[in-house]
Amino acid sequence: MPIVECNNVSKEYKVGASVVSALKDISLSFEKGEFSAIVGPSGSGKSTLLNLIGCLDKVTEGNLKINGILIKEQNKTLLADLRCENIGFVFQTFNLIPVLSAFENVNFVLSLKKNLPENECAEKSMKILEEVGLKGLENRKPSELSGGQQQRVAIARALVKEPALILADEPTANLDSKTGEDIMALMKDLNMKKQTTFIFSTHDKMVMDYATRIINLRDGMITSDNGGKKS
Amino acid sequence: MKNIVILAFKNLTRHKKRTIITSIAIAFGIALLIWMDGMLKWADNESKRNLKNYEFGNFIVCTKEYADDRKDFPLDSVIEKPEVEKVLIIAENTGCFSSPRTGFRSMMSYKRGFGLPYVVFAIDPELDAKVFKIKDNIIQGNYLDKNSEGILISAYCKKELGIDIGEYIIMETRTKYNTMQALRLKVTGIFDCPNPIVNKNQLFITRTMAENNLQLEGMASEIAFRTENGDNQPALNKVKTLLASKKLTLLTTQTWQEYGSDYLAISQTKKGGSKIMIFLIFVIVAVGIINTMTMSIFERVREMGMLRALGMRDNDVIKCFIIEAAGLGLIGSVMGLFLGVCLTIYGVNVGLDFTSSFKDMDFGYRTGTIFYNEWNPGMMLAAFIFGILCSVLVSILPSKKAVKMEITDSIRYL
Ligand SMILES: Nc1ncnc2c1ncn2[C@@H]1O[C@H](COP(=O)(O)OP(=O)(O)OP(=O)(O)O)[C@@H](O)[C@H]1O
Ligand SMILES: [Mg+2]
Repeated sequence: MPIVECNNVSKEYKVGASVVSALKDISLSFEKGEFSAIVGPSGSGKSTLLNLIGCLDKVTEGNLKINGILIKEQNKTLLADLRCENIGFVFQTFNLIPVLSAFENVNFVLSLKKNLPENECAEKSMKILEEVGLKGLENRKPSELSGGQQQRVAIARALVKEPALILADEPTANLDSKTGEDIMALMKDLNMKKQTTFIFSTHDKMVMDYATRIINLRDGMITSDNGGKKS
Repeated sequence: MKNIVILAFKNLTRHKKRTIITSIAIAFGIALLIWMDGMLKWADNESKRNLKNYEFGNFIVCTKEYADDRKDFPLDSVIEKPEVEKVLIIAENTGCFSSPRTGFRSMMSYKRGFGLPYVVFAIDPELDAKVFKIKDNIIQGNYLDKNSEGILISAYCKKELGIDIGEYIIMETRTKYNTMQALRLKVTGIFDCPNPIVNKNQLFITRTMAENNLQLEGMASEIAFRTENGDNQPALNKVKTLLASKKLTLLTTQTWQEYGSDYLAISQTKKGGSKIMIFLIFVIVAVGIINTMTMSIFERVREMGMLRALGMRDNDVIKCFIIEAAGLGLIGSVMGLFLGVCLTIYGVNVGLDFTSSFKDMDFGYRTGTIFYNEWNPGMMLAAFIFGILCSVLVSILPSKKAVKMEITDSIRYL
């Protein structure tokens, strides 16, 4: 069973009296362990697609299933729980909580998962911070970390619950190219080790080079999809 | 949940100045509530004490007509000598102190000045001192004794008439038989008691003087009782039954509560005043909390959007903000309690002098113009809890706004 399954998905935004059609009849699925990039010009619908897959927004037409669960039928709380169990997010802006240390930022998100003993939470949080290369910086506040380090915390935060799926909307857009490359290498490494599915959007050629599958979007439609085979 | 509480409290450290200013506003309200309440409580109890100690005793025995208009001190409805004696025996048998008093309206003048109206009480100095505490408040000269031919006046009267100790005062009054009578009396003592009604209106002579000069042979308009251990209901009931069994059916009792119904009405106003205070403080807390929480929520739109994306339930986001507001309320209440205790300590020991602003204003309270405080731990606890509860209550609505925005919009915000 694919982890993500889109069948004839459309998304329209109402802006005043007019309707913007952001996605048009998209059918697409992702298997476990894929490392895919969604690319396309600005306004082509990359973020919209990621938001739908991330259950942050609802489709206008069509069906979307995550782990076989039909998203349209779920209420807000169930969706929150579903995201909590299955999906991690990384965004262009890091959105860390400034009053919490790196460790606490990660630990807080893990503690949202119900029925996890406290010490196990702490242990896991420490371990994931080590894995993203932040050993020794656990107690720093976000303001005491560089942009790349902050994005590593954000990745650790997305990963700590061991979700099946990580969605990253332009994860390197706010980083310099060297740092961006480090972050991509880190994500790729985690993808290989943990078989976590990654879907990210990007404009960046370097980022595309890391992807095993590239999906091209234009005006809300898929123009090409290499299906995971590098050409 | 534990982490949510920790986050809520850490959030209070984001803008320390803002947190402190808001808590100070709350603290100010709580302290004011504690202080005002302590002062009103003192005024309330002080009024009751002063009514009993200087004006009325625990209850009086008098005729029914007199009870109906004691305020006019009518001389045509007094207790006659044989009945007075019977009542004094009843008092003795019930273990109460009692003092027969006859009050009558008089015009008092000094030298050729205008006459001013006062109420003169003819008392038995020895018995009266066991019921009332005027004897403890002599500031010049002496209290009366059985054969004293002088008059005991108040410090207020001294000032108003411009008279001093040792000088003579002219008393003009109507006797029971409606004839005018004037007496020239030497001022032998001056008292200054905390009951302003007594201070401003009442003067005292001995019953012997009154009997000899005003045809008040052995009669009394009222017999004031002091029961042991405060308001002693059994003693009062006993007096009532004895009055009935001794066929003194024309006589009745009146307690200070019955007499002071006008005053108790003021006590009621006090409660209304407290309600307004509580409402005002609620407004202070509400404005402070709503303002602060709204700012906090707007600042954190993106962070909260991120946490919601990562699976934090909307209810937990709301809880986090409400706990933060409760924290603000807690800090404010702790500071307010501390400040309130400080103000109360000051109020208990030093008091607030309203002499210049109240002057001759008569507002029914039987207190002096220096207002003190009384400890009211119950109210302190209530104010403390009220501060926190208010904060929680008014934060609910703004907190709900925190999850109104769609997650996708929150993340793109700004
Ligand atoms: N909340 C919204 N309300 C109205 N229109 C929207 C909204 N979000 C996106 N759109 C529209 O949908 C289309 C796709 O937007 P989307 O953000 O998905 O593009 P994108 O590929 O992520 O672009 P970028 O590379 O600039 O991030 C655009 O035309 C955009 O104007
Ligand atoms: Mg985008």
